[in-house]
Amino acid sequence: MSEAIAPADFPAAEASLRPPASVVTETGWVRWTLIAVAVAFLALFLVLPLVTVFAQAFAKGIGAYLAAFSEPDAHAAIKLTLITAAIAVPFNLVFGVTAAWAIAKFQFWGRDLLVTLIDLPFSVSPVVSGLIYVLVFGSQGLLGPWLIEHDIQIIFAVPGIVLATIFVTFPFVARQLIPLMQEQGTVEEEAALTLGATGWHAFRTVTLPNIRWGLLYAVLLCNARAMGEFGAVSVVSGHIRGLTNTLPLHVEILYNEYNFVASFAVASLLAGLALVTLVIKSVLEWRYADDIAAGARRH
Amino acid sequence: MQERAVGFVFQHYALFKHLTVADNIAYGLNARKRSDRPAKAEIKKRVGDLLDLIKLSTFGDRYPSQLSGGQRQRIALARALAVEPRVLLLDEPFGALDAQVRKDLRRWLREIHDRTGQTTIFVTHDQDEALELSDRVAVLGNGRLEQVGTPDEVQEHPASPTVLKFLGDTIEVEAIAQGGHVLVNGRETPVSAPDGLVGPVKLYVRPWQLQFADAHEAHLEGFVRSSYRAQGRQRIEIDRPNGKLLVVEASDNARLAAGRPVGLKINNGYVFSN
Repeated sequence: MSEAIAPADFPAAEASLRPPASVVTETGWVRWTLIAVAVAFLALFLVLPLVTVFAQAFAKGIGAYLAAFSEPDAHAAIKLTLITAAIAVPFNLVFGVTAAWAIAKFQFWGRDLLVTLIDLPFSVSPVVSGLIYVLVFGSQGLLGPWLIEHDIQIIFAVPGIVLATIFVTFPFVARQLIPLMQEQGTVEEEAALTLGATGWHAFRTVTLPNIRWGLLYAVLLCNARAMGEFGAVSVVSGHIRGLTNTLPLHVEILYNEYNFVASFAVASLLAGLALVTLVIKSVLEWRYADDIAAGARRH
Repeated sequence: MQERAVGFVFQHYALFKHLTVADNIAYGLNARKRSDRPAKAEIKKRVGDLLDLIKLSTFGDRYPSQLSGGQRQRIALARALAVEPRVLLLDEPFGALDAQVRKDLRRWLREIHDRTGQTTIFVTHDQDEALELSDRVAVLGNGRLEQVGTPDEVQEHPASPTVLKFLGDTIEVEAIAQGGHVLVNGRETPVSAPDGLVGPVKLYVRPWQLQFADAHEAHLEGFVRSSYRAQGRQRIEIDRPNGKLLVVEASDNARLAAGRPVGLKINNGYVFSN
């Protein structure tokens, strides 16, 4: 194990560790060409679309922009999106941590199969994911007659949307945590157990703190996807205005009606959500930079 | 492990990297059920005492990543001691540290042990560590318990060639036991054979139990391959006629030229039946 030296304690050492003034061997024009290509790419594929969303949204002034949100349908879509995320994210948080914990810290029969299954939602087209639910829970589907008999509606209703969202966002937390937990191994947990901690106490005080940053990142991504999911939700929702429309579906409907301002206004809300997600992540990383560094310096 | 109240110190420390040194030491106490848990002030005092014990009093607020390997292992020991285990098990605790730090920590651990009286099992591959630290040594070889005894006992009366070899360099010599004496190449040695042991035996000799001698009293002969100085003594490698290499130690500074024929006299050794 190499000894990590805290730079703060040894300013001189830090200075000597700094790379030499010039490690760049490329000539000026090569550098500037590469930088220009990267910037142009970023501008074209990331900045421009983002700017366009907001530009279109405010094309007819702030009044028209706000009008897009005063509709009852828009309210319903926002509410449904929030409800869906509020169910799907905690569910996948619990499932993801449990699965990652089991896979990373234990050896058991069927472990590889479980890893493959967790990846399934990523490899299957979201539309197919939605169709699976229709085929299972729809009125013509496998469980259809039984559900009708008991007056339970899943497809073309909120439960279907939540189920489809859970399915699509299934892998985010587990995928993020498995490599992290595998790399950390089980030594600290073993140490906790020899000190008399119960398994649950060790999980709470050792495993969770060690994965908190990865977990936070995973939850943010999972949330962004849960709110933005289109394909699978589109199949199971039935597009009933005011009832089963989430924000992305609402955007599509408005767009198809040539209501561009309203459509981009709602889209700007989703884009804003993405930006907020990034900002929160950056702020947390900045605020807890020492902690993160302490975690990263363990090697 | 928990039920048996065994404290454990790992080779690679296994400190909780997200906790401060003080919180690491307090971990076992904080993990107790509410009814068994000491009060906050009590825990704080215990941690302070342990930090004093391991001479890291000012390090309580640091994180493990800010410490050296030797310091981390001291914290690991304090953490294990905090829960007052009945037995402390140290699994090659100094294995990942460099030689000088190992020596310092060895002495330090002995002091801690003398002060706390904590029953400790220390697992090591390093015979010096074993002999310096222990009151009793158990030598294991190939999954078998070879010998248990005080450091003096295992050194003076090793129970088996395995124990002998573990405790230091040995030279293996074919010998014959006859009339209570051990003969090498037909010449009597000062080594006496145990009662009833007759016939071909194995004689194990430490490098310092050999001495250069003239041909008429030498038990072994060979040709100098090379010699070098290590820690103030000459180490001389000698090729024996049977093709085996033999290393002896001598205190004199005279270097022996390579290829020179030499004779060796056996002054002492350990006899085991074949």
